[in-house]
Amino acid sequence: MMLAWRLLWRQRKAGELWIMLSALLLAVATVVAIAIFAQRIQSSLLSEAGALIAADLQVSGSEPLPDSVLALAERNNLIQSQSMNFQATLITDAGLQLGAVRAVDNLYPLKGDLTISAQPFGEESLVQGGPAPGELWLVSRLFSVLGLEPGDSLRLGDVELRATQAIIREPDSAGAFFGVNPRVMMNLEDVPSANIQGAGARIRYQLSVVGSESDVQNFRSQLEAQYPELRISSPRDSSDAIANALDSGQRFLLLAGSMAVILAGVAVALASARFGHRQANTVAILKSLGLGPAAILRLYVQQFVLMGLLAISLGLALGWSLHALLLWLLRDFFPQQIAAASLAPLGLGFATGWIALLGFALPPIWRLRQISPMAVLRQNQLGAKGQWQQWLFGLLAIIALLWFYSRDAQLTLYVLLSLAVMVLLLLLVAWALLYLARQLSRSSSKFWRLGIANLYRHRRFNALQLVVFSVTLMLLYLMVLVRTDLINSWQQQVPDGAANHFAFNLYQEDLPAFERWLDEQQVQAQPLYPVIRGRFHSIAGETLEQRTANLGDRSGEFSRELNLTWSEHLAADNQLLAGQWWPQGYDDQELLVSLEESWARALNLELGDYIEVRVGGLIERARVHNIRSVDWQSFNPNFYLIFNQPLLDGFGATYLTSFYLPPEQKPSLNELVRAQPNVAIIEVDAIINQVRDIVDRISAAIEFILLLVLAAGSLVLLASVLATLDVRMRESALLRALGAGRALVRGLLSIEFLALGLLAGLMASLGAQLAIIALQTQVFDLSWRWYPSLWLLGPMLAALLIWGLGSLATARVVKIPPLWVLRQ
Amino acid sequence: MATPIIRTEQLYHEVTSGSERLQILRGIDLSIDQGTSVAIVGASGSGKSTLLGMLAGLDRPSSGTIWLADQPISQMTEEQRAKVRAHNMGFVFQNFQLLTSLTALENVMLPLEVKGSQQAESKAKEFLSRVGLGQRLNHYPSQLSGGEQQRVAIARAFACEAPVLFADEPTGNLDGQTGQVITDLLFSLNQEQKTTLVLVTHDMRLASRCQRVLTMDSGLLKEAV
Ligand SMILES: Nc1ncnc2c1ncn2[C@@H]1O[C@H](COP(=O)(O)OP(=O)(O)OP(=O)(O)O)[C@@H](O)[C@H]1O
Ligand SMILES: [Mg+2]
Repeated sequence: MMLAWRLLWRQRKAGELWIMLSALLLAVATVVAIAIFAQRIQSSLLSEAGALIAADLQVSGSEPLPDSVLALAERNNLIQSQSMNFQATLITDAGLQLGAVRAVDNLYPLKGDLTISAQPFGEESLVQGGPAPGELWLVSRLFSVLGLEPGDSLRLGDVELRATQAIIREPDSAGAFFGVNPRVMMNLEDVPSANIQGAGARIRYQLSVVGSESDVQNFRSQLEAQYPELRISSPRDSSDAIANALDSGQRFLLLAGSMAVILAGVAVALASARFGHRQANTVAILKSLGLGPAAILRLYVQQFVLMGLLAISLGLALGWSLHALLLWLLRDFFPQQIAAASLAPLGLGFATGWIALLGFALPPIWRLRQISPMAVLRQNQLGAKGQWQQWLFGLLAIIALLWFYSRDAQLTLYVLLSLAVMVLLLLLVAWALLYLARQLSRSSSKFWRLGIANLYRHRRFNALQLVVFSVTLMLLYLMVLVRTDLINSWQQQVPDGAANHFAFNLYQEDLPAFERWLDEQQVQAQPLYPVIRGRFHSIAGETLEQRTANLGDRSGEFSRELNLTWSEHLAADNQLLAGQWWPQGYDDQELLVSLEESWARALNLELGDYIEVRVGGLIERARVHNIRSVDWQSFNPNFYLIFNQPLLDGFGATYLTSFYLPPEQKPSLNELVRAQPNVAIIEVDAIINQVRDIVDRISAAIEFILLLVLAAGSLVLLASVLATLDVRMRESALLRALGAGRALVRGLLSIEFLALGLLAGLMASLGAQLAIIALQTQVFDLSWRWYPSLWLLGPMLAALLIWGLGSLATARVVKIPPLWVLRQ
Repeated sequence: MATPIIRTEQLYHEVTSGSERLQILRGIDLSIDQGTSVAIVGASGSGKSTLLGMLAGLDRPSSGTIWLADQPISQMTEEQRAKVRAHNMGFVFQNFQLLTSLTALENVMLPLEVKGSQQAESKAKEFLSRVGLGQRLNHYPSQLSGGEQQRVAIARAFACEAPVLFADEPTGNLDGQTGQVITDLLFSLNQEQKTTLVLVTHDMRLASRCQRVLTMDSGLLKEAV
C-alpha cells in the first residue's frame, strides 16, 4: 500500500491523473447533487404518507355531500371532519389576490401536523384545529403581497376576516406546491356569510374520516357502490401519484446528469489508457525486480482505489454543496422546510464513482499485468495497446449507470439506442466536415493548410470532440434562447389591447353594476357569455364511456364538468369549418350545438349527430349544427360547446367575459371586487409572468446541469489532447529542429483548435436554431425567426472555449526544445 | 566447485512478426558454474539480449529447458518465475531502468521490499554509500547523471545479495571513463559477494575481465578461448 501511494503521489504532476481525478469527481458530484436534491424534496413531500390527505379516507364532490353519506360514515363508526375547498379573491387596500381557500372545522386535521406561526416566516407552533370563526390564516408570503400585519382585517367574499396566523405547513398540501394559488384557511362557519357560490369558485365539498382499517374499507366499498360520482382518495392514492410524479422528475434529471457521467467516463477511459501506456516501462522494471502479475495488478488496483476514494469523497462533498444551489434555484416550488438528506443519494454517488472507475479506468490497468518483463531489455517501448474489449467494459458501465438511474430497462434501452444513433450520425457529419475542411484548406496558405492537416490527422479524437461539444453547446444555447428570447416574444405577441383579465362568476343581477364599472373605466370588454355547468350524457347514441374508450388518458377531458354557453353570434376569432351558423332569434327552434373542431375530431362527431348533456338534473338533446375552429391564444372567452338557445331557460347561469385593463388602472379592480364579492378575476398578465418565472427557474436548473455536462466534455477534450501529446511533441520538436519558431508551432495548434471550435459551434448553432424553430412553431404558435446573434456568438464562444482548453493542454508542446527530438 | 547454477538444453526461440518467422535462438546448450563471470559478445541483432532474458526468466523459450539451481524455470508460470527472480537475481541495464518516480534510496529499497526484507532501508543506504552516492539518497533519477544512475542501479542489484547478476551492456550508454568506473565497481562487488555474473557487452575490455567469453552468432553460441 505504501508503494502504491508513493508511486501515485510521485505522479501527481501527470496530467492524465488529474483528468481522471476531476472526471470522477465531477461524475460523482453531478449525481449526488441531483440525487440529494430529489430525495430531499421527495421525502419532504412524502414524509408522512398517512398525513397526505390529513385523514384515512377523503370523499369529495362538486355538490354538497348528501346527508346520507354522513350517515353512512356514522354507521361505520368513523370520526368525521368536513371541509370546503374553493377559490376566492382576498381584498385589502393594498391589493387583491386569488387564493386557494380551505374552510375547515375544529377537527381538522384528522391526521398529520398543522404548523402555524404568529408572524410571517416566524417561529412555528403545532396546532390542532383550524382558524376560529372570524379568523383567517394564510401562507407567509401573502402578508406582504396584501400589505397585511398579523391581526389586520381583509375581505373574502361578503365577510371581513382577521388575518391572525401564518400557515407554515399543512399536512395535506403536497399536491398544492405545484398549484398556482397560495393557500388560505378559514372556518367552515364563515362560509355561508362569505356568500361564496357559483361555478367560478369551483367549490369542492370534502368529508375526511379516520377509523379502523376495516371500517374505512367498508365505508369505501359502500360509497363506491352507491355514489359513483364522488371522488374517493386514500393516502395511498395520493402518495402514489405524487411519488410517481417526483420519481419521473428525478429520473429525468438523473438521465440528463448521466450525460455528464458518461462524458466523464470517456475522459477517464482516455486518461487511463494514457496512464497505462506510460506505466508500461515501470511495470517491466517492477517485473524484472521480481513482482509477479498478481502483485502488479494489486499495486495498480491499490493506486486506483486510493485515487477513487479521494475523488469520490471530494465528489460527495462537492455534490452536497451543488444540491444546495439547485434547491436555491428552484426554491419557490417547494416547501420552506425540507427534510434532511438521507445517506441513499451518497450511496448512489459512491456507486457511480466505482462503476465509472471499474468500467472506464480499470481495463487499461488490467492489461498492465500482461506486459512482458523483456521490455526492460529493449530500446523501443512495448506499451500496452488499446483494445476493443476496453470499450466493451465502458459500454457495460454506461448501461449499468443508465439502468441504475432510471430503474427502467426499456428507458435504458431507449436512451442508449437514441444516444448511439445520435452519436453515429453526428460522427458522420463531423467526419464529413473534417474532410471538407481538409479539402478546402488545400488551396489556402501554408499556415492554414498545416493547421487543418493537423486537425484532420487527429480526426479520430476530433470527431469525438465535435460530437461532444456540438451536442452540449446546442442544448446550452437552446436553454439560453428559451430563457432570454422565446418567452419574451411569446409574451410580446399578445397584441396590444388584447384582453389581460378574465372576469367570471358574474350573476345576472350583477351585470348592470359590472357594465357600469366597465363604462367608468372606459374599458372595452368582450361579450358577456352565460355559463352553465353540465356533463356529457350521450354522444351519437353511445354512452360517453363507449365513445371515449379508445382515447386513453384524454377521456377525462370529456367526463369533467363542462362550461356550456349559448350565443346568437359567432365570435370574431372563431371560424366555421363545416355547416352554417344559426340565424338570429332562438325561439321555437330545435336545440342546436356548435362544436370546437378538436373535440369534434376526438369524439368523431359529424354534422347532424346528436349529443345529450345533463344540466341541473335534466337531459338536453342537441343536434350538431356546425363545427368551428377557435383561436385559444386570443385571451377571449372561448367554448368547446356553444348552443343556439339558453339551457334551462338560462336559469342559474353565471356570466364571464374578458377585457383589457391598462396596468395603471389595476387598482380599480379592488372597487369592482369589493362591490361584487362573487366575481372572480384572473389577471392574465400575472399568470404569464408566473409561467415565465417557472420557465426561467427550470431552465436555470437545466442550464446548471448542462454546465456540468460541458465541464465533463471539456475533460474529454483535455484527455484526448493528452492522448496525442507525445506525437505532437515529437512533431513540434521536429518542426523546431527544422527551423520553425515557437510562434509558428503555437499558431498551428491555435488554428487546429479554433477550427475545431468553429465547427462545433456551427453545428451547435444549427441544432439550437432548428430546435427553437420547432419550439416556436409547434409549441408556442409563433412564427419562426433566425437568431443572427446565435450564429455569430455561438461559433465564436465554442471556438474560444476549445481554443482555450486546447492551448492549455498543449502548452508543453510549444515549449519543447528542438533537442528533444534527438533524445528520443 | 563445478556445480552449474545455470544450465540450458537445446534452447530454441522464434518469433513471428506478421507473416515472417524469425529464429532468434537456434539450439543453445550452456552451463554456467556458480561464482563465475561470463561475458556474451556478438554482433548487433545476434540474439544476446534475448538469451539473457531467457536465462533470467523474463520470457519463456519456444522449446528447450533452462535450469536455475536445478529448478526448471522455463517450465514455470510467470508468477513462479517472478518469485525466483525476486530471490535469486539482480539486474543492471544499459539504460539504467530506474523508476523515475522514486528517489535513489527508494529505488534501491524496492527489490528488498519485494523480497520482504526487514532491513531494506539500512541495506539500501549501505550499498548506496558503497557506490559513492551516500549523499544523494533523496535525489530522483532525473537529478542524477547517467553514470550516477547506473551506480544506483548497481547498488540496487547488489543490495539484494542475489546469487546471480545479469547485466545487459551496463556501460553502453556511458563514456569511456565513466564506463571504467562502473566496470570496476561491478567487478569489485562481484568479487566480494561471490555472485555469478552474466553480462552482455560490445565492450571487449569489459568482456576480457570475465572468466569466460562466449560469442553469439545468429542464434548460436560459441566459446571463445
Ligand atoms: N519480440 C520480438 N519480436 C520481433 N522480433 C524480435 C523480438 N525479440 C527479438 N527480436 C529480434 O530478434 C533479434 C535479436 O534481438 P536481440 O535484442 O536479442 O539482439 P541483440 O543481440 O541483443 O542486439 P543488440 O546488440 O543490438 O542489443 C533482433 O533482430 C530483434 O529485432
Ligand atoms: Mg541487446
